Parts: sequence; structure tokens; C-alpha cells
Amino acid sequence: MNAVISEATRMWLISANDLLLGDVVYLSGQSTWTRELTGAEFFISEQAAEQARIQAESQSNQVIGPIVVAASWHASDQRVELDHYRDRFRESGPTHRKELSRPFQPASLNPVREI
Amino acid sequence: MYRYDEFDHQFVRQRVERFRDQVNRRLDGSLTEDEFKPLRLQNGLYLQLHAYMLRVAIPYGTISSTQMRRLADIADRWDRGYGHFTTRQNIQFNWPTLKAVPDILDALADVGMHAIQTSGNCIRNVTADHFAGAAADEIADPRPTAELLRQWSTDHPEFAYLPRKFKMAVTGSPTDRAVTKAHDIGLRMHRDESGNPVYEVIVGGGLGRTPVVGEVLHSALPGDKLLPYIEAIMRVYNLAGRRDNKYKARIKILVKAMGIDAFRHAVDAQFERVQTQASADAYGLDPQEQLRIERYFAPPAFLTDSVDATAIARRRRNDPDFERWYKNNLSEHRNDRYAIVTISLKKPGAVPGDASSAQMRAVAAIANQFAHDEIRVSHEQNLVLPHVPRNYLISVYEALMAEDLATANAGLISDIIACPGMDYCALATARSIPVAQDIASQFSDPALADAIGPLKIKISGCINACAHHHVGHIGILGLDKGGHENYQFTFGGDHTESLSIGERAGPGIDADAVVPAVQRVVNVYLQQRQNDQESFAAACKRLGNEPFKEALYASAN
Repeated sequence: MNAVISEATRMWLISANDLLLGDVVYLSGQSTWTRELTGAEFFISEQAAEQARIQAESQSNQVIGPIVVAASWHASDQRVELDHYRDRFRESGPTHRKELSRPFQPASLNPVREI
Repeated sequence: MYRYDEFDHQFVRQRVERFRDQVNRRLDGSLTEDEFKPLRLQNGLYLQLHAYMLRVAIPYGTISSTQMRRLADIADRWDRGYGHFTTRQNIQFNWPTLKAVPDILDALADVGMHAIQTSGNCIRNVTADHFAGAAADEIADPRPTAELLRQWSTDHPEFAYLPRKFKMAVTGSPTDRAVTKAHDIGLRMHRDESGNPVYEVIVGGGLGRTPVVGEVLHSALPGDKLLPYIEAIMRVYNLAGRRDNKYKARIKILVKAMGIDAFRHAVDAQFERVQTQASADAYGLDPQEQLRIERYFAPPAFLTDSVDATAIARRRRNDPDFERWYKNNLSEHRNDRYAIVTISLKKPGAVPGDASSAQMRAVAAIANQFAHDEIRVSHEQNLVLPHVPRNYLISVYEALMAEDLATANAGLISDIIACPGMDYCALATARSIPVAQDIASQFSDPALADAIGPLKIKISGCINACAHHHVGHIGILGLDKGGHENYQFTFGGDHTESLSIGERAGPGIDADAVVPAVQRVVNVYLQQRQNDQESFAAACKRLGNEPFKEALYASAN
């Protein structure tokens, strides 16, 4: 269900590494994954996110090492920011070689799902 | 250099095919990730932040032009056009796909290379002095010893599941360029009273979470006793090393817990047992086999042409850039018609240790044309041409210039060791590379760098200390402090034969405060040194670390 969220609302998403390529992916549905943060599914409850992570563990034919990642929704400029710099670097790619960086675009909010 | 025989070729090919089967079984779901992970690690395949990473062994840092060209081909065909040379004389490819790795390993096997035992709790790639076989001060070439250890330790069934990873380094010179005192086992060749080459065996050194200077276990071990003695050390460690806590599992913790005398007693007991249980042949002590290995490391057929010193002197006078390169990047060779050339991979602003495929091919071509086809990888993340005839120095310099490889900063402030840090590494707590780039750029003025003189800055992105920050003259450690990158400094470290661990200055500082802090520290050094011959390391010893600590925190944060 969609939730009404306010400025700087805390939320969570599930990230992992793709089995074939090893690159960073985000859970976008029950068993679908996306490379774009903009396509990720966000959870407003950390517990719900943890449940989704546990379910994602069973998808080891697609991804490796699913983790829960904390993020914040900034309503004023309509963007999601990953809370920890490690997660931001995972999302952006190596910071020192621009040609290797994943294009970072301000993420728009996706429907929030509660499990 | 060593060349694979039929057995070696067959062994490596079998490992490739076995891994190809393991990858296929992972992809079809027959193997879980938990089952697959130790198998991929045994073949050097890690999963990093953004991709898989394949770590390829370059035993004792010695590589031919053919092998270097193959690394360039791999970078272009299966990676993103570059490779990263590491402090363990390996190369890492940061972007291979899982499916491609068996093909990469096949391509490596074609040229006598592999990724076996570049990860996991086993005996890792044996490292050595990067000037081996060329250094003017060398007693004996350490590479036959390193190769013997490599052959003995590869796929050794007894030591495939040690309590923790195990690293060995060998030097044949009194000047220690292999950081032997910071290894699980360090071997330093010297001569006994009769003039025979013997080994000083150092044990229990290491950096990481608990930095420890290795202790002398045996001061003069004869060469024919090396393998049984190493085997005895490994047995004591394998049996008594802790397996319940990975942070206390390295041999340095065991040596500290037992005390060096008790540890030596245990090793001596095992040594006696090893020698009485097995035939000499089982330990590779067959003199014929030793000779076979040594023959591969015979010096090249050195040219005997007289050196045209006039041409070199004229170029030095007329070309200040050549003069700087000559002064900073050349080292004394055992043959006075030759020089050792360090190829800096540290152009200010570049990523320390990275080389593009074009640069790899250029180095291969230069080595092939001018330098007896030999290249070395140094633990300082540079490349080395160990045997360059002095008559070719100008040609080598110009060829390096053409590929942007003639940066004249070897051993200077911008020749920084940096681990991959959080730009790649899954273990990192902060970035290293951008910090190194910023510091090197700050000191990119050649005149300033020359005025500062020898200064080793080493930057690690986590407590595992892959960049050896504890033994840097200035060590920098990146940590996560409350969700922000934070950098702790150490001063007074020493990576040489007089190895010492730097003293932590105090609390860390923010990322954007690092470059100004280094500038202040360097300013204090320039103001307080006795003269321009007193190095930063010497000034630290004379002054103590206080003036540098004060400078560090003068206006930080």
C-alpha cells in the first residue's frame, strides 16, 4: 500500500549483488531486481524490510548477500538519499573514475510496500 | 625467470577446468553461494562492492613482457581496460563477470600464470625484493627460494585450511625492500661466519588490527634445512593457532601468546620430527631440483658495451625532467653498465597502482626491446625494469614519456601507497584512493617534491592495513566515525630493515581536512629539519612526533 510520508522520512530498501555480473542491484518487487535506485521498492518499516531481506535470501540463483539499506526521503526536493556513504558509493560506483561511475540521478519515490 | 614444466602446465589447466565446472554448477543452482564461496576464493575470485574482483598472482613480483601483454589483453577483453597492482605484488581486475572468469584463468594459464591461493586461509603469493637479481647490495637472489616455497606451498594438502591467511616474504639484501618483518614469515639471506648464505627466519610479523614487528626465530638457518624448518613452523601454527576468533587467528597472536622462546621450542621439536619422518626428497631438497630452479634465475646475458657517459651527462645537463627522473627513479645495479629503473604508477592525480592496458603493453614492449624482457611489480605499487643497460636509458625514458609513465617521483611524497579502499573493497571503512590523489596533487610541483625529499605516505581504507599505513613515515587510516569518513594519522613508521610501527597521533580528522593537515605537517618538517639532507624519517626520530602532532591538529576540524 502507498503511505503518506513527510519531509526526511526514514525508509529502507533491499540491496544485493547480481550473481552473474556482481554489480549492485535493488529489490524492485517480490523477486525482481533493478540496477536503478529509482526502481527500488521502499519500506517504511525496518522490520518489513528485514522480512523482505530474509525472503530475498532464497533468491540465490539471482543475487548474493541481500542487505537492508537505510535511506531518507526528502520531500522538499523530491529525492531519496541513502543514509550511509558506503551505500551511496555502492549506488554511484567508484568515486574516483567518472567513466566507471553509475549515473546518479535523483531518485523519485516508488510505491512503498508493507509485507 | 621460472618457466612452467609439463607438470605445472597440467596442474594449472586442471584447476581451470575444475573451476569452470564449479562456476557452471553455481549458475545452474547445484551449488549454493555458501558452498561456492570458498571455491571461488581459492581461485582468487572475490565479490567487492560493485563487482567481482579477480586477484592474479605474480610470484615474487617477476613477470615477462609476454605475461604483461596477456594481462593487458585480459583488461581489454574481459575487464575495463586497466588493472590494479597491489602491495602483495599481485594484479587485481575489478570488473570480471562470473561467467568470464574460467576463460580469464585459461588465458592466464597460456602464459604460465594463475590466481591460485591469492585468497583464503592458505599460504598466499610469496613476495620478494623487487630488485632481486639486480640490486648492487644483494648477497643472493631471493627468487629461487621464493619459487621453492611457491612450489612447496601450492595445493599443499596439510596447509590448505590454516587458521588464517599466511604471508611470506624473502629478501637477499641487507637493505630490506620486501618488508620482511611485517610478514607471517620473513626470510633474510645473509652470510654466516664461513661466508655461506644462510637465512635469518623472522616470524610473527604483521600489520592489520594488531601490528607486530616480527621476531627472529632462527638467526642462521642453512639453505638445505629451509623447507623442513618452514614446515615445522607451519605445523605448530596449524595445530596451535586459534580458530575460534578470526581477529586472533594470525600467527603473530600465537607467537605473542606463547612467547618467542616457547614458540621456538615447539618449532624445534616439530623440526626434529619432520626431519626424521620424511625422506629429504619429500621436501624438495634434491640438489638437482634446487639447481633446476636456480638455473631459471640465472642473470641475463649482460651487454658488455662501454657506457656512453657523455650522452647521458649531456641529457642530464640539458633536460631538467630527465635529470629528475635519473635522480629519483634509477637505482644502482650490480653491474655498473646497468641501472634499475622504477616506473612510477603514481602520476599526481592518478590512481596509485593502476595501469591501463596501453601502459601495460608499452612497458612490455620497452622491457622486450631494452631490458632483457624482465619486469617486476613492487609492493610499492610501481613497476620496475631490473636490467636496463645504461646506454639505453635515454631511449627507455623517451618511450616511457610517450605513455605518460616517466613520472619522476619514486620514493617522494607523491609516491603514495593506497589500498583500493571503499571505492572497491567490501571490507573498507573509508576511501583511500581520492585521499591519495588529493595529497599527490597538492605536492605535484616537482621542485617542492624534490625539496621535501624521501617521504613515504601510506593510506589504508580499513584496519586490515593493506597499504601498510603503520609503517609509513606518515600513515593514514580511513575509518567510519558516526557515518562520516574519518582519518587517523600515525607518524614515525619505518618499512625497512629497521621496521617500526608508527605512533598514532590521536583522534581522526575529517576527509576534507586531510590535505591541509599533511601540508602543515610537511611545513613543520621543512622548517625544523637540520638541513636538506635530513629526511622526514630522520627528523621524526630526532624531534619526536610532537611537532607533527601539533601541526596535524593546529586547525583541524
